[in-house]
Amino acid sequence: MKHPFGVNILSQYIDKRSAKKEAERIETHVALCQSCKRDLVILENLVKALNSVKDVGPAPNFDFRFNKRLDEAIKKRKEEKIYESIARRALESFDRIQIKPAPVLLKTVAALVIVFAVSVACFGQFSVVSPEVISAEGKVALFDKSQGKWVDAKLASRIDKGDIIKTYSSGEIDVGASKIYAMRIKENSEVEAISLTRRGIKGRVFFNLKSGRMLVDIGKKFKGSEFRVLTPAAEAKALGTKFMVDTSEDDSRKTWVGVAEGEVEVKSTSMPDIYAMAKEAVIVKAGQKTEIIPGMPPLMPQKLLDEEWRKIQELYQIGSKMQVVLLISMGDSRVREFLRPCPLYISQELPRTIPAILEDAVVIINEAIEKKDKQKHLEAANKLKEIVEKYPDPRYNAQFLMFIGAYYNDIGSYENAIDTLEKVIEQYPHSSLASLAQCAIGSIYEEGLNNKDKAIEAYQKVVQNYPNSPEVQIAKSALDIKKGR
Amino acid sequence: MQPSDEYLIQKAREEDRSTFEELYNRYKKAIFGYIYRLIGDKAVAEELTQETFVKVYMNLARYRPEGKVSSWIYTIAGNLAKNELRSRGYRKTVSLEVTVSDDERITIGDMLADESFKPDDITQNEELKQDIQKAIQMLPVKYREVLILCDVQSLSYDSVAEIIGSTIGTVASRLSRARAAFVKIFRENFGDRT
Repeated sequence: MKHPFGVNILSQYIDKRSAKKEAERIETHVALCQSCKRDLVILENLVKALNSVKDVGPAPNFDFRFNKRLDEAIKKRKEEKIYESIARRALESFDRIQIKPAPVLLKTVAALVIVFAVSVACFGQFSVVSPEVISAEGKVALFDKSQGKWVDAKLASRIDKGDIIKTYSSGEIDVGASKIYAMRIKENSEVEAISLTRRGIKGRVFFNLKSGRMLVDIGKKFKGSEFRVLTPAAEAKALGTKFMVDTSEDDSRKTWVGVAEGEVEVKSTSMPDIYAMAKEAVIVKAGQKTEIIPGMPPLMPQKLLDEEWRKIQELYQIGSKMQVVLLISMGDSRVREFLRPCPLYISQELPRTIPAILEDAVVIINEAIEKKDKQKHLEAANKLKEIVEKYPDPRYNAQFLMFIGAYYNDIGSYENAIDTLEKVIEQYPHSSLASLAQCAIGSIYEEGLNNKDKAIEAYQKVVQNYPNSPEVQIAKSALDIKKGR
Repeated sequence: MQPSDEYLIQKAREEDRSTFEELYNRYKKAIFGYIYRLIGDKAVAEELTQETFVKVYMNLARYRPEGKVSSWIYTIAGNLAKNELRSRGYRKTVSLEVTVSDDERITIGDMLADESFKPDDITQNEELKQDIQKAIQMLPVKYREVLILCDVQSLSYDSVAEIIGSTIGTVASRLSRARAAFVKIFRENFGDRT
């Protein structure tokens, strides 16, 4: 028997694309020809088989990563638009000045001058010091000096010299100049931009915090520039740092300055002569604070209290920081502080990029800490475990394991705590948290399980494996005590 | 009633991110599936799916309503996937070049020839699913894309023609060749199981 229908024809037939007459011919032939019938069945089954593998989807944390990536792309495009507009303006100027014919030498000189001007303008943009609104929540007003009126603070609105930002009871705003500096102005605050100038490639940025509270994060690109916050009582000059300035609402009108990283030079702005001998300025280092009452010299810097430290940790949420952060100080109370579970922070900038389960976890964790509720701590630990398993992400897995370890320790489940912290050491040996996990294991053996030998072993590992870590001193001190030195 | 893709694009152009997210949610799984079947690597497929939607968002203004929104998204995804394959020098590593003529007969009595075959036989068998993926990977790219779009994703000939920038006739002929080549590959390489 002849087989008049090739694969091509049969393929179109099963897709119902054959002409009616041809379809009839195929059906008649197939009814009689076993070979062609089998070919047809194979093709039909092939389509069914391929369609059955349709259901395949990306990993559960795909949306989270996509939103982050899209945000970055949008931000980058905004920056590119600024540069394009500068270049366009420069070209327009170039067109205008070419109205009259000029001698070749003059044209050459003019072209060189323009090229130089464009280069300087573009370079200047990289060191731009005028900030833009990164995010705003609640009621926030912006006094636009150029328009002479109050307007709503919108995303990407530029703040210029003389502009005033005012936040109301539930308002909060983050402003910043890309990777140069970022600030968060808290509720019931008023801040005026009094200097936003460039000096060559350096900047000179002064803000007047008339009332309220602001947090400042200076980026590395700002090195060599001047950033100051003035208040009714004091002037805080940043020396490459993260810090918070708080003006008191009571009658004392005092100013409080706390530093998370780097140093801040703080001086009184109005000191009567009787304090001539007193030190006018103090350097406040990381983990320290000072206070200034109007007309008085600043207090000698002191260590931040735990509550104060927690308060300024909000600095790490400003702008495009990591979404989830474990924040602990760098001082000698680091391990102790960690083992007493810390709050979990999530940047408020882009809440929609966070899986809902993570938002639930944050609520539980922060409730557990606030109420010191052990059951809630256990619930929080379980929630975090679920996230690590279901939505694994190298950006936060190690941090979450640390949290889980701390919670287990807090509820007295020491063996579980040690197991969890060991996972950090095994799975993330190069993380900056590995040394903290190792030292915390020592502390749990020492204080929780009262196992001196194991504690010594754990502390020795800190000294041997992480000689440059902030925990070395803690481990060495513990070893000295254990060995009875 | 669900808003049309065109309406979502129009709204998304007005920088309405939530509308774009609706469009993204509508197509992300299909686009991921398309790229994954083309490339055969989930991590790379995730990366390229994200890149596809970033490109879509960034080029909303360039979308022309003459074509379907879905075809536009698929075209971007397909181009990214093919670029990736090119950058890997993929063509050189494909050793099996299948040539199929229209009159080639399919003769094997295997699973696919079984009249009682049910798709559940595959969905419940991880090994078989992997074999199908491997067999797809062995097809030349121009057959692979048509086979995935038509038979895995069940798109119409018209849509596929729009996506690959070709005619319906070309789609039909490539598809039949792709099917024949697929059966041949499946039979020769995974025959013992079928």
